[in-house]
Amino acid sequence: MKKMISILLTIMLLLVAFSACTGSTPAGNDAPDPTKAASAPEKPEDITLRVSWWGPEARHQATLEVMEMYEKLNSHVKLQGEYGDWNGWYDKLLTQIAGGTAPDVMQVNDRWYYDFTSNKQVVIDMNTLTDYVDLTTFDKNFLDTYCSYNGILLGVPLGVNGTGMLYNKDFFAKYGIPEDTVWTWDNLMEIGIEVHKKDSNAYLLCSDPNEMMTLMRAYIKQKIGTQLIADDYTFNLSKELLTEVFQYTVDLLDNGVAEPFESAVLYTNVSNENPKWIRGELGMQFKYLSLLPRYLESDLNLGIVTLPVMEGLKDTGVLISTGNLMSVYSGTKHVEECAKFINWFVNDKDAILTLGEVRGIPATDFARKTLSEAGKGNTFVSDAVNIALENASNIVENGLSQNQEFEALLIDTFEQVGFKRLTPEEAANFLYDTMIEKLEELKSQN
Amino acid sequence: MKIKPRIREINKYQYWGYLFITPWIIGFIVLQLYPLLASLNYSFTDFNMLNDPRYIGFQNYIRMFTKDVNFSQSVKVTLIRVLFAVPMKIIFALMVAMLLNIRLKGMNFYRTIFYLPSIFGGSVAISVLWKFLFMREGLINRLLSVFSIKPVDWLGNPDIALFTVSLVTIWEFGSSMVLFLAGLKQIPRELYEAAKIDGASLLKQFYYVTLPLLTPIVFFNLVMQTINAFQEFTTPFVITSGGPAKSTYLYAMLIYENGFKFLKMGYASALSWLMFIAIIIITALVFKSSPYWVYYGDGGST
Amino acid sequence: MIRKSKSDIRNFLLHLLLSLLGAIMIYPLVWMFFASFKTNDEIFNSVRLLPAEFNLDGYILGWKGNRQIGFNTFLINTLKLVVPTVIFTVISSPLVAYGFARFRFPFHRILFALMLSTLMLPNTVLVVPRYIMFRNFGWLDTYLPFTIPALLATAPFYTFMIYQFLRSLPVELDESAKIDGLGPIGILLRILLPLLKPAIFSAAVFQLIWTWNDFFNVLIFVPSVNKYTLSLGLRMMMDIEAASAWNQIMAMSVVAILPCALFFFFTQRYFVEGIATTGLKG
Repeated sequence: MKKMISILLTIMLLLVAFSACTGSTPAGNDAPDPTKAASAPEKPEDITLRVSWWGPEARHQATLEVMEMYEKLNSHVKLQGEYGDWNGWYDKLLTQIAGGTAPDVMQVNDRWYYDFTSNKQVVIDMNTLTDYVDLTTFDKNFLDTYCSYNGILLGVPLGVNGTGMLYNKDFFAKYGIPEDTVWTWDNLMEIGIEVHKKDSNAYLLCSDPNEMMTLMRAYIKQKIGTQLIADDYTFNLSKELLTEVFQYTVDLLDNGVAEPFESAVLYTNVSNENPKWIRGELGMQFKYLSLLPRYLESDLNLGIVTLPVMEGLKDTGVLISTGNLMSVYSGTKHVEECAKFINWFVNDKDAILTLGEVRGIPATDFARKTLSEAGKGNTFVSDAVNIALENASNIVENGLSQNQEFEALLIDTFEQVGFKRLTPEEAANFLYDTMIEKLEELKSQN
Repeated sequence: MKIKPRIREINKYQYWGYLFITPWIIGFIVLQLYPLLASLNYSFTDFNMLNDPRYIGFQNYIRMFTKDVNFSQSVKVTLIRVLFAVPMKIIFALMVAMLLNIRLKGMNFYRTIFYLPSIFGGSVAISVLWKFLFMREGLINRLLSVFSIKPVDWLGNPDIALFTVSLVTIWEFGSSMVLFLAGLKQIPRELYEAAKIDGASLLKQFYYVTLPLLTPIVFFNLVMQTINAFQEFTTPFVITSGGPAKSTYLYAMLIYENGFKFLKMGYASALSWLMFIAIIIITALVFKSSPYWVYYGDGGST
Repeated sequence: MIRKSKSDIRNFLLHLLLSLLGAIMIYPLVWMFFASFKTNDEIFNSVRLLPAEFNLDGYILGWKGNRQIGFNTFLINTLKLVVPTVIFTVISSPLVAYGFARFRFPFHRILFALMLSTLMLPNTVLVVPRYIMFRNFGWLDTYLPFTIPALLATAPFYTFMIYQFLRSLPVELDESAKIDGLGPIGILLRILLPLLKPAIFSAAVFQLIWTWNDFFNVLIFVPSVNKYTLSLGLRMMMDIEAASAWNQIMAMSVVAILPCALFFFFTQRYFVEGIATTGLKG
């Protein structure tokens, strides 16, 4: 017994010693070393900037590489990357912001406009940093329309993002679907039914519940041609329209056009991991184009088309956005250095070449030209963005329609329908009533 | 004459107790009592970390019961989970402990094996493993297909997912089992011998000797496992994110999402308080019932 | 003779039952261990337990993974979190347990009831206000939200556990020591602590393993990736590359739980018997 305890104590002491030794080296915080600062006064003080982003592995590698390049150019700056997957990233960043420990430079999503500006100002208005960031390389209209909210420029756009339908060419060939099919909501159903008849394992649509819901947003926009929620807190969806949307979804599922939710739900937001997609048993799926790189990593033979349309549509519903912005956290101690880094990140030739299209098609002409001259542009992604731009929706979603709680409610209700927990009518009534109540609440608060 | 000084001597030492429990008193006040009261305070506000809190009366509590469908859903699945997983775990642990208590060669080995899963608790690695075992293309379905059973959506079907996720907890019955084993070892052999002489069957021995003497451990397990079961978070969070269709959306996830996703700290505090009250009531009931069924060797005084 | 063979059959059946049960229990873990040496294809396409050939790619790529922050950082972070927490628990819990078990000071009943009631006070209930409080203290992104509570014995489980063992030790022990002229501290250090060793050891093992595997609290109190522990690192990895690299994920899962498992194998006999004997001798 005594022996065991002494062994244990030794192990523990060793562990402490070990962790203490290794711990002291990478403890890079903002605190500048006073001795260094004193001995070289004309040198800028040593600082550490925390930079955060989410995304796939390729993006991590390219970004880290670029950060190392920047550190070499600016020996006083140490950059520390914080990165992960999109799943749960928003919660994590929000926790950091609320806790006052957010990174100095952060990639934010344009869908967070509302949450980031309706409360306290979380990011610094990029318009105030033009001494350090060259914004003239960007299309002013693009900045105003897609990157600003109430006149505040939330960050520097990192790319142009759109939406489209990604399809498996071999699947289309196998079931005799012409690649130049103009998809409508009707022929989507018809062709889907036939595919499933031929092979009960095959489905035309991959049904990631989140993405299917976003696809249905396009359906809704084609019907109404306006914002989902108007700026004056009017809910523009009627119960009838919601019922119709949910019924269409149920039909897709019941007829075997879309993969059952039961097998798809585990791959929400990561449908590239869905084994049925990998095995080529799914034909097509809705996609944010910025996610394409991770789908292109596979061996599948892929193509892209625009979203299905309907007769007499009021809008295409093809969402264009910047997707990702690089922003400066309002709580940072090094505003100037953050801005300088961001400027270099989006405008420097070497940075552009290294980053390539890991965040979609770059938002500046200069960057696009630089990439294509170097033969580095991925034609698949840029073609996809061009297709989206040709069909672009006229509606730039407002903050209210992008409110996270609304999105959560939409997705939850959509899942309830997909899992047959609610009938389309019940779901429509529930969603409508809840939204009216929520909007009244929001209206009374502001 | 002789007794008096001894009592005084004992009394002299009683105040030493305060010295020993001082760390706990500080910890209790700063890290438990204060947060608890602060949270009660927040629960009447619309605190969201970014703005200054405003008092909104009982609105958070009213909202729970009238407007929040996620609340009723998560209460439902949490209760189902508690009522399913806790008794299963305790019964399983007791049964295996009884088997292991039989003096036989190699029992230590079996005990190690049975205990092993439970040391991993709510670890992410186990959630990873569980996801891989039970996903549609996972090991379980592939094993089933050997017997030509069709694949089951263990995690994708809203009717099954909660059960699948709860299996992790039952699988980790080891710590309850060890406590039972310890209890079984304490039971003097003479009691069984005496019972045998009286002609008691194995079943009767279990009912009249084993079970009563194990009641303190059943009690301890029941209380701890219930509280743990109410708090389960990692497995559903990592494997299913509360889905499909909110069927594994346990109460801890509800608190987490409201607090740390929507930053509704006020509402999350109200949810926490409700959970606190519910747990108090349940454990109070268990404690109140304990004199009727828990047997303490030293008379049960605290 | 007949009796003997009867009990032989019984023993055989018992062994059979226990082996079967044990195999089912442990199969997933063993499978995970071997899967970490398989290629990704093999993981998905073969039901066999053993890999066709032992392939270390999962470990090498998973550990390094071309990332600025890798599993070496996560492992060191985990140690930085776990070791002080365990040591502080081992120091504080016996003190408090002794205070409650052996002294009848004023308000003893109330205070003890309070401590017991904190056993019923779920962590989940406190997480929101604690988060706000630790934010105000500037403790977020540090491990203080774990070590300080341990130092102050706020996890009543350990205190209660040691208290239960203490209560099973006869009071006569203390009284005879008192007659021998030992003070309260002397009684604790010289008489009770040696007897309590198994209980304290159990508390340490429990704390070590639970803190090592903790996910919820780390998720909330430690938001920055460079401070992540193994649990959070593993979850991050799972989100990033689930499809492409199940072998890496399995390998890193093994890394995350193997230290726990080894620790358990080396100490379990002592640990499990510790629980048993303390109870028995008391």
